[in-house]
Amino acid sequence: MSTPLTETQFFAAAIVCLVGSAAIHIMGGRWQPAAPSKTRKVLPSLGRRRAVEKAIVFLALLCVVAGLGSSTIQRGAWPLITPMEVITATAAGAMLWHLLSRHEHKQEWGSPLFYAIVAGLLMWAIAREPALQAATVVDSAQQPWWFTSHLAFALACGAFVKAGSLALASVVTERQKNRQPVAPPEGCRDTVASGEKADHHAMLPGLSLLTASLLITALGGQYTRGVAWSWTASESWQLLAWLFYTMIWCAFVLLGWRGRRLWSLTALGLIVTLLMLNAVGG
Amino acid sequence: MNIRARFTELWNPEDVLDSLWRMFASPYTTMLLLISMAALVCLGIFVPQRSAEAVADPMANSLWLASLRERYGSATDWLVGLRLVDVHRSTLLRGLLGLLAFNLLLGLVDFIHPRHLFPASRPLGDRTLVYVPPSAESHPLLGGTGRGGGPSLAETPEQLLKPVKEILRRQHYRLHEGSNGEWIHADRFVLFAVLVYLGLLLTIGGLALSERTAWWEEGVTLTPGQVLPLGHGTALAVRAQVSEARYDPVEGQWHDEHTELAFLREQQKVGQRVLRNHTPSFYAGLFFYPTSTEPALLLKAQDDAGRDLMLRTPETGATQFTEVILRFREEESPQYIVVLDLRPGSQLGRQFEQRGNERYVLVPGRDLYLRLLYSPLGPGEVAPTFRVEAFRGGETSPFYQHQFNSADSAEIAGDRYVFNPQRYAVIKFGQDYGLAFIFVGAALVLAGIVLSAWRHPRRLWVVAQSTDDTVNLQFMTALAEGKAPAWFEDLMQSVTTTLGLNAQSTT
Repeated sequence: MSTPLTETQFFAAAIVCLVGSAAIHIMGGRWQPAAPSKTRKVLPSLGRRRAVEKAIVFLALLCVVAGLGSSTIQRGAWPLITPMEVITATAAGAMLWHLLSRHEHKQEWGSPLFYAIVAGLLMWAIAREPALQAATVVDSAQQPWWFTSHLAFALACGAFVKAGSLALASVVTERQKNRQPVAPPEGCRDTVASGEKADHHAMLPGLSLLTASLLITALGGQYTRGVAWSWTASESWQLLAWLFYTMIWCAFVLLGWRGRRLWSLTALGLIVTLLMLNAVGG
Repeated sequence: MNIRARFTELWNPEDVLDSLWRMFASPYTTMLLLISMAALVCLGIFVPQRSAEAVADPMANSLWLASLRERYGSATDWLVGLRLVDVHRSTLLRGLLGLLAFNLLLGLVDFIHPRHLFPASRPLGDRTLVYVPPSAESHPLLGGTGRGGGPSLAETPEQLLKPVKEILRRQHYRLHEGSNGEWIHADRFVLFAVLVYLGLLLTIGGLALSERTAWWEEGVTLTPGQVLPLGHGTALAVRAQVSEARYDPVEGQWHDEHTELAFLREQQKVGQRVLRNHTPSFYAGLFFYPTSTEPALLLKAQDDAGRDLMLRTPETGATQFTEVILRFREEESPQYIVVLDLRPGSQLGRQFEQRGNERYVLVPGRDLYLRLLYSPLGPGEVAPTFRVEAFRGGETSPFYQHQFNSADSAEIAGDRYVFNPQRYAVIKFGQDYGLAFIFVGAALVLAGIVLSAWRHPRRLWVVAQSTDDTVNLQFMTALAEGKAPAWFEDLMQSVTTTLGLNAQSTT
């Protein structure tokens, strides 16, 4: 008799995939530039390595989606209602943005940092109680609203994680570069310019999605309870994050900030995002 | 250039009003206000906030302060004195919102008519790209006449700007010309940022309107047939026609809870709405929300001659009725009895005891009282259970007990008591015109952020300056980390190619 896989097993498989992807990135980055000609033939090309890396991340994403599906089927209610599911969906959202991004984490440890954060989110989700009873507390009429707002929220957090990890890697890489003026090998370490191109790509959709999440939460609250805003910890953290990222929007879109100042703010946003996730997922 | 230098750049001592305008309209001010508001929200998260109930009720307020003192000790005085426990209602938050609205309004005006953004009043510094026409006289597009002996353009900078304007128009830029015709301001995609500004202004306006005009009546109970005036100058009354719910014994939950409301004006029915759980209804600009339907018990008593007995309840005080309605709750009572230890010398202590789902009825003519208890339905049960206990005055043990789950009667001390279980509706109603502004504003902000992520606003200034023997065209835009943005480089490429100018970059 076969035993169905639990969501924990799916998430563990996703973590393994992420670790594998990080290993491929690190190994590929270290070996390729200095590899002798014979070895270079054996090693996959940079493009192929990236394709393999992305394929493994896609596999991890599928595992997480399967885990979420398993959890939802067990509960027999709308998905993304429990804290564990919100955190997991955030990890899935981050992976989705990573796959959709046309710009690569070219910094030496940009991608591994991203994979580590996403794997950490999954471990956090596993460590949480399944809290099946938490979903039954939510009235069935409110569940569609919760699902929609949490979906937008999770995708927003995923985008912030993606943008924040890239920004953090850019800040550190630039600092290392300043200390060590010798140019890094091509394809292994990034230039400042590539970070400039990439740093905003996930942050702006993230802000749009966070705005949508706040709007849906307020609309849902007004429709089902007659209360659009109630200053709960979750709502307060979302508002705080929204104010913070709107400030970054002003800096980026209206003032044209680029480079280290913007990276620093976006990297700080990573902490704000994790705290917000703790409040909403908690 | 750091932020301080940017602010210094906005200041022009020759025109203080203009400088103040630029300072208040600046996105740097917007950022400063946003981060200040974020800091206040952060305070509201970490410092316990006094609820509206505590503010309204002195007893609840003193209890709340006592619990705060237990947790924070002497720091409580600081927190209360600095009003950090009322951040969400604070003047500071309102002031910041007001300043933000002012800042956004000025910014909006600048977007629509960028008079204050003319860069000639500011040092041009590192944001200038200079284009010098080397042989303009031979360039027909620049109005060259081919007369020789010097370019005709040098005499008329307006003529030099003409083809530039044409190129900008072709690229869908919006143009604003200076009064002397020597400079132009061009922008594109600013509408997207305008949407965000407009949306934020609408949201703040909606919040202010809600604050001043919105009202809500919560926890209003309506038993079938009861007429309730709505008040607040509406001249409307509401009557609950039917209040129903279907119980599912398998799930142990109530379903299809709904209440029919009839609206009355001068005792004439003018409208009707059905309230369903978690779904609002609207009538005459008012929102109606069903909070729940709860069990109620209609009680009448008659003596052996068939005369009605007078009844009273602790809630109605000394007034006596021939019929009383007792309201219960489906869930565990959220009300608690607070027991305080106020003995001299003892440390302040308190404990909470949950109030039972029970009601009392006094029968003054018989010196007895009834205690009625409600047991909510459990899974598998078909109907809720009521229990009546009768006590003589001064006794603590009941001399009569009876249990029932449908309409029933009982003979207690020679009198006949009739019990009729019903359901009553708990509703909430009110009016808030600000909500429409808030939601429309938020939708505009969302649209603006999405569109501005797709295409960032572009702004540039073109200034034509005559020197001794030539005319310089200066193209200026905001630089990012000392570099011109890609769209600006593309535009320069287009201008230099079309006009055949030589570019000199000072960036």
